[in-house]
Amino acid sequence: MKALAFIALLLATVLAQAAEPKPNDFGEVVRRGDLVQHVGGEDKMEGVDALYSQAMDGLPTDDKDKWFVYVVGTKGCAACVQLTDAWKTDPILRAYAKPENPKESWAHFHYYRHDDPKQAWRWNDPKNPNAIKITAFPTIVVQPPLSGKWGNPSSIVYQGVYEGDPKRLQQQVNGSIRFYLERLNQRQGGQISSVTAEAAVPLVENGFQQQQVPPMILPGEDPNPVSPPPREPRLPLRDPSIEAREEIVIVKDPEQVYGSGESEAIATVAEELQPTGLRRLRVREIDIEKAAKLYGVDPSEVPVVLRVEGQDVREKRAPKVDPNKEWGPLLSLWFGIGSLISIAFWCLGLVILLLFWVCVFLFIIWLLRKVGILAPKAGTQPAQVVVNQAPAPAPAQTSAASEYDAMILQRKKQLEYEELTARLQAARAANSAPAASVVA
Amino acid sequence: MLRCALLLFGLIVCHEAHAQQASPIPWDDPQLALKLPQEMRQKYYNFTNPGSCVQCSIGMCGMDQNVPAAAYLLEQSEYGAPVFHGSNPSRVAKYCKDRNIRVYNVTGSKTWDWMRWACNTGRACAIGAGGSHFQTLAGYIPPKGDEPAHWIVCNNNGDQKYQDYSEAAFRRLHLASGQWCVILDYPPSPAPGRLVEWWK
Repeated sequence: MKALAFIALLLATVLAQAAEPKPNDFGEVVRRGDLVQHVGGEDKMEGVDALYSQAMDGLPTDDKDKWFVYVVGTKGCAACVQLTDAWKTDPILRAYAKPENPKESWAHFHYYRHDDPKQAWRWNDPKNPNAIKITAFPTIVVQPPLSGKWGNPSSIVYQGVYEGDPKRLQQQVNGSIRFYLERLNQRQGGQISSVTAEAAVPLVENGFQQQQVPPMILPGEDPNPVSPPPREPRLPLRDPSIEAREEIVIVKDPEQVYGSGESEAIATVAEELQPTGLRRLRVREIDIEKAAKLYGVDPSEVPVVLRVEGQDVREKRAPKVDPNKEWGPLLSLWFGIGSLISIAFWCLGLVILLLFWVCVFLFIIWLLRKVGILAPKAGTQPAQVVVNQAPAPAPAQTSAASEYDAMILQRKKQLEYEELTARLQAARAANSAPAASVVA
Repeated sequence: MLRCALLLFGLIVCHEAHAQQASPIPWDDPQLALKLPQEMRQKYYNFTNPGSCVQCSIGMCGMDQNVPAAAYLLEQSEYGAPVFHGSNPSRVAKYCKDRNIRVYNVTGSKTWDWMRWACNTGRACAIGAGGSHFQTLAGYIPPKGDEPAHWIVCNNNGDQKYQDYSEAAFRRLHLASGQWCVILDYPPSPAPGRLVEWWK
């Protein structure tokens, strides 16, 4: 039993030693000596001979002057798979890069997976507003070489979404590179020769017709290069393999300088762009900023109505709006914030005017009463006087009672007058009798 | 005698500290071969995977050069099981062959030329640096005028910041481990893309 326990302990010790992390064996480094071993890929040689033969080779070629062409795809993107397959055979795409053979490739090629957590830091960096943003797939990006020979290596010379047309891609990429080189040449004071610049643009071989190369515009010459505008990242995540939806997009003037006439004109044009028959397209209104990003609408073009299919503008029409147009229908006054504000001010002015005339009227009344032309207003006596008085009879009763009192008073006065008159006559009669009799 | 020894030790420490210092170059400088932000470099921290400094260094290069089979060397992935612990040139060759990673596995006095070539062409490389240790060579800045050449190294044992080494200090660093470097045979990564308004 003890022997078994001992053996088990011994085995456990041996296994524990085997599981311990091995330290780096740098002794082999010394034993190998000067050696360059190429591992992976198509190893044509095996064994020690191969190692030593490669050790005698020189360094690989200096490829720091190569441009960068890279594709950003994502998981579940059919168009990305289509592009990857096309890149294996299509002569136009392979003129830019040979993914399986980097040494013969015109540009350094990478295929980045947008959903790869190890590469996610490259895109949409929230800390850096100038960082490259990728929002559509597959996106193809072209950047200058790391050597700095063609300007800042961080510059995005071309960024665009591949839509399945290599020829179109070639035109866009070549146009962007040429435009970039022209700008670079202007900044560097014409130090780049046209021959050198043309060498920077890949040539399409294998029987494909080359694009007509325009002359290099030097400083002081016509500064009107025909070049593609810088491609801004597109907003929606759209898979080009999915059929795009056709719709009508209205872009209104944000300043509303045309007033009520704009809506009418836009509605007319939108109706004209609708297809004939029963089919009706969805009508959508977007702001100018979004329209500029999605469809390249210039702010000077608004108001404008577009018939689009996905992100492609099929038709663009500007409604004819007359800025000097008279007032439209009354209901159209309600369109636009400017009209509403005007109406509000008008109502406010009316109220203020009304209040003013009411005040004037009251002032005149007060003045007339003050002067005495008008009787004072009833009930203007102080309240306590009213409270201390006996309750007044009703107005009708007051007038009847006073008339009755007046009649009684008048009758009393008449009776007194008659009595006094009678007494006066009696007194006069007594005074008219003989005086002797009076003496006697 | 003891005082002299202490003084000498202090001088050496000061000299090394001067020779090796944090590099002021930002991570996205196109002069650098390894153009990775620090939070990404920290994913290859050797203390998380003890004794795997060679794989940490190669993995960092894989992330930079967009070689997933190398970038996921320390993780279970579709490219194979994770590879931990110490390595030598033969082991590196074996697992690179198994995972179909193309590398230049260089030993001996040629490493200096290869390291310069790699940095010059924008490729980072995993190099022996320090006693029995591997680090990532992030760049070589050639001499300019009066300014001497210097090397930029990222240590997977430390804070993963770029360390600036003078020519002599870097020589000591590389020789301390033995002359061995591993370079991925893939195109270099482009400079981090920036929306520079070059058309204006």
